[in-house]
Parts: sequence; C-alpha cells; structure tokens
Amino acid sequence: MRLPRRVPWASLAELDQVCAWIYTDEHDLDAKVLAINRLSAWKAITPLPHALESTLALLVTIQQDKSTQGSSLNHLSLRHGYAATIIRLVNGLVDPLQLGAYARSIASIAAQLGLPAWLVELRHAATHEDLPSIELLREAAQQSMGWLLQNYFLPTINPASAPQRQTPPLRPLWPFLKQYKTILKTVTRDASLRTRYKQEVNAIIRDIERWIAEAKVAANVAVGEIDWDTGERTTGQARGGDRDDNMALREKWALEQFCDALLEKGGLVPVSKRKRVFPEDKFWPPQLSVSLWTPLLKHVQVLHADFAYTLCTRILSILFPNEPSKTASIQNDVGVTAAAAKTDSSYDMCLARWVMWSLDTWSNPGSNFARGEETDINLGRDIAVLLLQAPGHRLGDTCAKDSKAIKALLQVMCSQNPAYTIAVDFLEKPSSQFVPSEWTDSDITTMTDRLTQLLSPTTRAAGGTSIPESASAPTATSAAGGRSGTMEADASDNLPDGWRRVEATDWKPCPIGVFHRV
Amino acid sequence: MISAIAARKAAQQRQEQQETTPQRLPSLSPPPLSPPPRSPKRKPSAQRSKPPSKRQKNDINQKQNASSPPTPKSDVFRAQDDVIIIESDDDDDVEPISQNLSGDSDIEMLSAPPAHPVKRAWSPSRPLDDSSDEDDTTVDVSELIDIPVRLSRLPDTNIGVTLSTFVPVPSQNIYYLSTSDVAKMGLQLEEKGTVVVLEPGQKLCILGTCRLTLLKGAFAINGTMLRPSTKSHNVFAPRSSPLPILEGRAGSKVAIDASLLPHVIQAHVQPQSALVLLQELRSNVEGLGRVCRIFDGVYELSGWQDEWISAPFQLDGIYLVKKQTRDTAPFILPPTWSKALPPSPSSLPNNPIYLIKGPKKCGKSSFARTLLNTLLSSYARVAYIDCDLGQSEFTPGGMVTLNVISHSTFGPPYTHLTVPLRAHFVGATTPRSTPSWYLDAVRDLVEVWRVDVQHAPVGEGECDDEGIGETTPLIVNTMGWVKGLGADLMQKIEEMVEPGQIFEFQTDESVSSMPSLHSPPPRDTTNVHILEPAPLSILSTNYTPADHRTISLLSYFYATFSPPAPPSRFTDVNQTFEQVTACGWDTTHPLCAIPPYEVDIHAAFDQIVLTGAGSEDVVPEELGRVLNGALIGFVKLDHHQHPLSSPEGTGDKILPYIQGQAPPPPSESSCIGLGLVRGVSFVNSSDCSSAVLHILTPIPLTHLSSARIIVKGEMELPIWGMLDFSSASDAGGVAGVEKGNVPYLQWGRASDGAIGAERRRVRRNLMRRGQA
Repeated sequence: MRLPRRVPWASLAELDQVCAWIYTDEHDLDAKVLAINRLSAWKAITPLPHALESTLALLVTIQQDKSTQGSSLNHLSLRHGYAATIIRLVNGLVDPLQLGAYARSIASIAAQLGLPAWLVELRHAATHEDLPSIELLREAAQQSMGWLLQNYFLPTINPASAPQRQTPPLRPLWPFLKQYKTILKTVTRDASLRTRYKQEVNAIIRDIERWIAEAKVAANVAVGEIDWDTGERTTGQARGGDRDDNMALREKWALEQFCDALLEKGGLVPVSKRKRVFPEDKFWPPQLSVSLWTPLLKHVQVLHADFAYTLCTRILSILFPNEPSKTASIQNDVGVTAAAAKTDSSYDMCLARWVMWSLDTWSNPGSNFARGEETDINLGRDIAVLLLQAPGHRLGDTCAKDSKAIKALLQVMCSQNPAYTIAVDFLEKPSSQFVPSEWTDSDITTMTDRLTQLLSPTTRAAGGTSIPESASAPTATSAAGGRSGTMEADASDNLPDGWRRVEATDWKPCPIGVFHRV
Repeated sequence: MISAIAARKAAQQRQEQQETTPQRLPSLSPPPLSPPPRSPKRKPSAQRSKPPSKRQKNDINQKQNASSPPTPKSDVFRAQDDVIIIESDDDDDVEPISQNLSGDSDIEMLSAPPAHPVKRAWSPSRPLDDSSDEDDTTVDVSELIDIPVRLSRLPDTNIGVTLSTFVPVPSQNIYYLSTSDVAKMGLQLEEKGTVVVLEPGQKLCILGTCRLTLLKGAFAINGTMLRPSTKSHNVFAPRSSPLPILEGRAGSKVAIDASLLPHVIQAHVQPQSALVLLQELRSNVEGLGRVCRIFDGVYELSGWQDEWISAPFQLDGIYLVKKQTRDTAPFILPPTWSKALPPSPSSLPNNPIYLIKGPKKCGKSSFARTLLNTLLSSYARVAYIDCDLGQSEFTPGGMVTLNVISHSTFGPPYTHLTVPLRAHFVGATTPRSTPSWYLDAVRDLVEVWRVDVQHAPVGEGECDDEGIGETTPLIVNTMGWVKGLGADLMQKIEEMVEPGQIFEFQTDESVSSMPSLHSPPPRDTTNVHILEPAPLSILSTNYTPADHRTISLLSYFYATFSPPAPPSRFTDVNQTFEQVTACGWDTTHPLCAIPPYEVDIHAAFDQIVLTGAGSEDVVPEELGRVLNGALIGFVKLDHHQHPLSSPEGTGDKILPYIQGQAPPPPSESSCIGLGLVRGVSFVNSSDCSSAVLHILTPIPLTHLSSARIIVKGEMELPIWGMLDFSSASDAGGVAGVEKGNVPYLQWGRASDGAIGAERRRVRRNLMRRGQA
C-alpha cells in the first residue's frame, strides 16, 4: 500500500480552472486576482508543489507591476520582488535535483530540465551582483510563466498529451574512467607521487560522482522507458510517498549505467589479455586492476549503499548468457558491446573474480556478526541465491555456454560457506535426471500439503499471540462511557450553542473534506 | 543516501514477503529455491527491524574508531579534509511542515572529523599484520581519496544482550491469581492477575501493556523507585519506544496486609523480595496500529527472534523480553542522568523549577519523564510545561501546555494524552513563524503556575501520606531547536522561567554550535547539571520524530478521556487539578466514518483566525476552502467579551473572519483542544448565510461551550488520518470512494513530464567545491 499525498484541490479540474484563469487572457486582471486568491488559499491548506508556489509569486509581482504602472511608485521594490521570485523559482526547481553527494552546477541541472540558461544567469546576478533592470526582470517573469505552463500545468492537467521532453543525452562516462585510470596508474607506479596527485585523484572521483548524480536526474526521463522489475517494488510499500520510490528507481538506474560502463573492457577488466594475470592465492581479479579500481569502487559504495549489489548483479547478468535481454540495455557510450566480450573466457573469469572481490570486500560474515552487520552478510547471500537460481539445473548440461567462470565462482563461494555446497551438488547433476512428469490430480494435493506445511510456522506464531482482534469492540472504551465526537447520545450533555450531533440517518461515511447531508 | 523511511519501507516490504514466502536455506527440494526476499535497499532480513544505520555509516564509524586518534600523517591534509556535513534530518524528507527554513529545529548539524581510510577499516576480517604487497598497494592508494563521511552517533545495537535476569518459575516466583484472589486483597481493580516475585537486583523487561501494582517491597522501573501502594500504574511498552525494565530493590514496606495474600505466596516469599501484581490493561491502544500502519503490531511479538520473548504471565498483551532483539531497545538510564536526579525527598531544592534543555534527539523527553516520575514519589502533583511544539509529552503537537500530573507515566507520549490545565495553540510544530507569540504563551503558562498552581493546597484524597502537599514543582521541557533564532528563544525562556535546576545535555554538536556568549551567566541560585545524551538505539532509525508526531495526533482523535471532567473545571481552573488522561482508544471506525458534530458557525463561533506564514493572504471568499479538512484549535477568552468581529447590523451573513487578524494574546486566552473540520458546507459558494461545519473532536462538548474562537495553523492532519482502514476498503479507497477519485488525495506520481510538481525539498548536506 502506497501512501497518497495531500493536494489542495478536490480534483484536477480545479487546477485546470486556475490554469485557465492565469493563461486564457493575459489582460484579464480580474481572473488573475481570482487565481492569486485561490493559490493563496491553497497554500494555507497544505504546502504547494514548487511550481505552483512560484506561479503564485510571479502572478503577484506581475499584478503589482501592472496595477502600479504609470504611477510614480518606487521601482526598486518591484525589482526586488521580481528578483526574489526568479531566484526562488530557479533554486526550487534545481535543488531537488542535487541528487549526489557533491554539488553540481546549477547551470548543468537547469540544462537537463530545459530551463532557459539566461534565467540561471539572472538568478546569479540578482543574488550576487547588481540588481538587474526592471525590463530584464519583466521579460524573465514572462518567460518563466510560459515555462511553467509548458512544463508544469499542461503535463499535470493532461498527462497523456504531454510531449516527452527532450533532454540532452547523458554525457559518456568513459572519458572520466580513462582519466581516472591514467592518474591512478601513475600513482600506483610511483608512490612518491601520491601527495602531488592527491588533488587530482579527488577531483576525478568527484567528477565521476557528479556523473552518477547527473544520471539520476536523467533517469527522471528514462524511467518511463525502462523495464523495471516491478515485482520488487509494488509489494508492501506501506510507507513513504512516491518520492522514495522515485529516488530508489533513479538511483538504481544511475548505478546500472555506471556499472555497465565499468564492465566494459578497459574498465575493471584490462583490455589486453596478457594483463589478465590472476592471483593464485585467492579468487581475485588481477592485482594491478584491484589496486587501480579499489579506491573508486569503495568511494562509490560509501555513497551508494546499493552499489555492491548492483555491480554483482550486472556482472552476473553478463555471465549468464540466457538472462533475458538484460545485456540488451547495455547500449553504451563506448561502443565496445558486452556481446563482443562474451566469447572471451578470461574476460568472464575476470568478472567472476570481481564478484568474489566484492564479496570479500563488502561482505564479512566472520567478523562483526555479533554486532549485527548483516547488511553486508546479505550481499553474500543474495549473490549466492542469484548464482544458484539463474543457472538452474543447466550447470550439469554440457550445452550451457561456457560456464567455467560461474562454476569457479560457485566453487570458491562454497569453500567459504559449506552451506551452499549441498545446493551446488544438486545443481550440478545433469538435467536429464529431471524428467518432467505428467500432471496428475494428486500433484495438486502435494502442492496443498506443501503449502500447509509452509504456512504452519506462521500460524503457530500467530496463535501464540493472544491479543484480541482489534476489530472487536474494545471493552475499555465501552466501559468509559462512550466516545465523544461520535453520535452516541448522551442525554446529560448540554451542547454548546450552535453545536448538534449529526443524526445517523442524515449522514453517511465519506472522505475527509466532503460535506455530506441528506 | 537511504532515508530512514526507505529503510523502513524496505523492511516492511520484506516482512510482507516473508509472511507469504517462508525463508529457508537452499535445500534439496526439487522446486526452484525459494528466493530470499530482497528489497531494493537490501536491508537485513529481520522482520520489522532495520540495520543499525545506513550502511555507509557503519563502515565509516568503524573506520573512525580504528583511526582515532588521527595519526600525525593525517594532519598534512587536514585543512582539506575537514568536511562539514550538514545532515538534514530524515524528518525533512517526510514532514513538509518542517521542511524549509534554515535554522529549523529539525535540522541537525554534525561536523565530521577528517576521514582517513585505514586498512583495517575496510576489511576488518583481515589480520592487521597481513602486509602482502598487494594489500599495501591497495591501501596506499585508498588513502589518497577523501571518502565523504556521513557521521552520526552509531545506534548501539546490543542484540542478544540479556534484559531480564528474572526467570519465571510458576509457583516459585510467579503466581496466577484468580479474580476472587485479587478481590480479597482490596485493590482498585478486582480482576485476575499475576504476581511476580522480584528478588533485589533481578531485572524484568516487558513488552506490551499492563497494569502494575507494587504490593510489597521496592523496585525501580526505568530508574524511578516505586513505593508499595494499592494504586496501579498503567504501563505501555511498545516496540517503538525503549522497553521498561523493572529492577528489584531491597525493601520491606507493604501496601496490603500480607495475610490477604494467597497462602502459597505467603509461604514462599522472602522478606526482601518485591511482590508485583500484573493485570491486563485493555485500552485498545493496539488499535492505533490499524490507523497508522507504521505502528502496526508494536505491542505484539514480532515473530523475529521470538524465542527471546515469551508470555509467561498468562495475561493478554504482556510479554517478557529475555534478550534484546533486533527491533527493540531497553530503557537505559545513563550514569549522569541518575546522578542528576533529585536523590531523596529530604534534600529537595528550595526553588522547585527544573528546566531541561539540549539539542534534539538527545533524550530530553525521556529524561523529563524520568524526572517527573521521580518527583512524583516526593510530591503529590508535579506541573509540567512543554515548550516542545513538535513532540509534546501530554498533548498532540502544536501547543505549549501546562499540565498538572499526579500519576506516574510509563510509556510513549501518545499513550498518556492528558487534558492540559492551560494551553496555547501555536498551530505549527516549530515556533519559527510566530516566535514572539510563542514566548508570550510560555510566559503566560509560567505565570499561571506561579500564581495558581505552585502553592495550591492538595485536596484530600489526592495525596498519599508521603507526598509533600505544600508545593507543586515545575518541570519545563524545551524544544530541540538550539541554534540561530532557536538559541535566542531558548535563552529568553530560561530567563523567564528562572529555573533552580538546569539539566543541560552536552553533545558534540552543542559544544561546537552553541557559543558560550549565548547562554546567560548562571545565577548563583541555579544548579546546572550536565547530562550525557541518551544512547542512540535502533528505534531512532525505525521511527522518525515525524512518525511520533503522527501517532500522537491520531491517538488524540481516537482517544477516550476519563474520567469525564466536571464542567466547572474549565470555568475556574483553580478549583481542581484532577488529571484527565486518555484511558482508551476506539478504533472501530476510521475518522472518515465517525459521525461528526454539525456546527453553525454564526451561532457557535465569534472569531475565525488563521495563523502561519502566508495565511494573511487568504481572502474571506476562500475561507471555506481553507477550513475544509483543517486541523483547528478551540480557543476561549479568559473573560468573555463581546464578539470581536461580528459587526452589528449586518446580520449573520458575514463570516466572523477578518483577513490578517492575529490570534488573541496568550495572556487573555487559552486553547481547550483540537478539532478536525471534516466538512464545510460553503466550499463553492460565496453565500455564507448558513455556514455549517462538520467537526470531529475528542473533547467532551461541555468544555467547548466557552471556546468561541477557532484557530487554524500550519499543522495538517496526517495522511494516515485521511485514509480508511476498515475492511470495506481493502482496495485502498476511502469510505466507498475509489482510490483515484478521493478528493484532496493523490496516489502515485503527479505526472511523468511535469517539473516542479513536488514540494520544495531542502538539502543541507551537499558538499561544495573546496569542501572535503
């Protein structure tokens, strides 16, 4: 169950009405007054969407300007009014999209939103420089009103007809990754350069972080196009508004984009096969790669709790050939497609080793167990489940695509956690052992039995709690002499002037805000 | 970043999945392995439990532990590494009211020490002396990078720590009494019960609700010593709050004649042990979980680690918690707190005014409650002024209140809502819009205490023989807004209260953010106690202040107050101080299905006032719209005056509303309680000749006759209060209206293409260039 949010209008028709008052006739000042009054009232009911709040501020300022034109009113106050309005408009639109840990420039976010660049400049001038001229400010207000109509009112009132906004495509990530690699190589080769390059390392890592933030904003647009596995999200979201869902989706999308770029050859996996020299003592990627990428990966993980999981799942989706079209969405900037890499067994092996590295790095079942750091333990478990589920009983089949990498990974994981061994042994049997049997009526009985069995612990737990059904009439309250505010008649009550109890026959339950009387 | 709400969401989701999909280890059964439920946020699998904090916080905190004190080497980059992170409260994402002002009380400012990743921190399992080349390389490069730090005090998870040393053995230290057994003892409530024998030092941690009567001996509950008495105490111990711990102390006093006890008990009990009678408390407080699902099932077993929670009492709704589970935390009395509490009745200070101050989330309210309970063992009554608009102790938020309390309170605020002696309606959860009005309100309450309460004689029967009847001490709890304007307000409150004892919470934040020039020079007569902040527990991750505000407000509207106060109470406040506290909750119907009162505005009210930023722009034609669905305060004038605003001669056609009018000053008025305008008859018409409101309020109507002013502030009814939890509306509609057509509510995202369709959101933890 997802919580709704409160809006000041009973239906969108009321918003449509306000929109008509504002935009139908620019010179109809009376209609503008109606709109101002209505928006002011709405604002007193519940905090308004930012676009509406800005609309109100713009309207009031424009109205003031128009009604005083010709008079000798001090224009400074008008300019202040306009300036504050524009500043708040731009800030309010941009601030929610500062989605990363590091501030992005307002201009870059505004560009992603399609907000005119000169409004952003005006914001800056009005805040820090000379107060802009009245002429410029009037023009800005007009443009802002137009922008709000196109970008807020029309899409909100009529979602279907809204044209998909054109936003600049996401910048490619690979130049950043390349630069990162270059710097890190320098530093790892010559430790004495560390101090000198510290600034640069940090700068590039921040740029990468900003790229992720940018991808999150871009996800706003892309969300509609992407095939989200909605099964995860639609169940049981009893709390939070759409805001959280929205953020989670954006974050997920952005991290996936990021991981996909990382997993290109030349990223986590060196391009040259010669460099794919695997350490012998553990199932880890080449030593050089590890030292190159560790700082970045850890940095990202600190800021994005889901990164480790996303990275592992993206790797697994590459390793599993039959994974339905997941790789299809990797149509990336670099052009080296993952498909081309598929035939490359050492590439697969390297990726599998990165999974192991992730588990070793971010999942520490041994230590800290007592302190309940199971968030990390989950990573191992989740990955194991993915691993075991995805190949199914294909593992034993020879026809499966080169599953060496998967098998090797499974083996290592089993050696660390013997609990998995049973499952793997089972999976490795050739699938011929499982002959699909004919469906018989007795199968349903078996299924019912299993269901009962599964449900039994739950019911036992529920039976143990003997809290009375909350629906049943509470004894305490009925003993307390009836609840005030209800229709229970209490003869001794002398009602204050003007108060009366609604008769049950005159009234029926209805949503809050609806006045019902027969 | 994961907000707490997301974490909870995830956990909840997982829980629901778990209910349908039992979780198992991979097994040999031929069907596909049952997938462990996985949430997008990947939180632990504990039902209804959440990780101690955001993952990254964990990592970082360890790292800091590991790397402190900073090595000399780290100082080289210190200037660059000083990250000031302003972490906005989770609250800000959730609660629109507290969203948008700098210096807001809900903003937490934390300064993070420099972060220097140290090898140990990243892989704690690896032995320290493992110095293979590979590791060295990795670590050295890591040190180049400033990992941003999100620092918070790490919730202290002590899962598995023993909370109850008491091990129930029937007929040895636990006895089940029938109704007739209890009746013989001559107690208030003649109902079946269970007697628990606590030896000195033994601890008993409980979950659920119960009535508790100390028959003999002594024990401490949440650090407060109780004396034997035939009076019972209501204990509310949901998982959403720290669980109370009963600890046996040596004592031999008795409340009832030992010979009245059943013989089995008489035969076994040692002279030093405490006899506690537990009885069922049927208040239906659990029903609030239906109303607001965040608090669903908090009084029950969670199903998780329930081998640590048992029900040995044979009573409904009360459990014994043996060990700390993942989603519970016990009440802990830090040493500085117990030292600061007034030790014994004999050494009570002359100036009985106690002021508690400190930043939010450090335990002000918990301490205040403990102090209150402690003082109640010495005084018959204790006055309590709550200046914290966000989380009031005895009323829903949005008011400053003066309560006179005579019963100890054990439970979260929403379980002991009490009709205040005097209150003022601010209408917002922070005083930032009306700071001077707020100060006037506090001043008035302090004045009322001084004049009417402090030396009022205690009536007969109100006082046990041991209570000091002569004085009624005053506890002043303050808000957590201790910066900027908040600091100014705090200082003024302190000056007007003239406390004899100040309890000040000392946190890292307060040291850095509260320069000493702000605090007034302590007066000679003032005793300042420095307290340590309460240990953060898992609860602060699971429940935000906004959640507590929500449940408090909803609890108010569903509550039944008892005993019904005599009508005279409000006409002459000095007559009686009888405590009127909510005794039950009727959650049979959701708010949308409770028949309201029908109120004729012209006949019932003399004045309608709107407060809050921007409210002065509401024109009379739009008033109906604004009142519809609004939360209002009923305000009465101390001396009934002629209607201020209804002009004679024009008849009753005009609403008693003057645009921009301020609420009556606190010195001349008070707030009786809150109401919800659930319907307005004139929303779409400018003809207000018959203006009728449909109002819901839990206040006994007799109190309302003098309240002829209604005030609407910035506070709103929580969304949960607008929903319909009754079974008829499983599909999510409200009162028979389908989900998409419910007025004033919107499900799902506004629209894909619309920009700016969300409420403004403030980020204060962005790192700028040059930071970090």
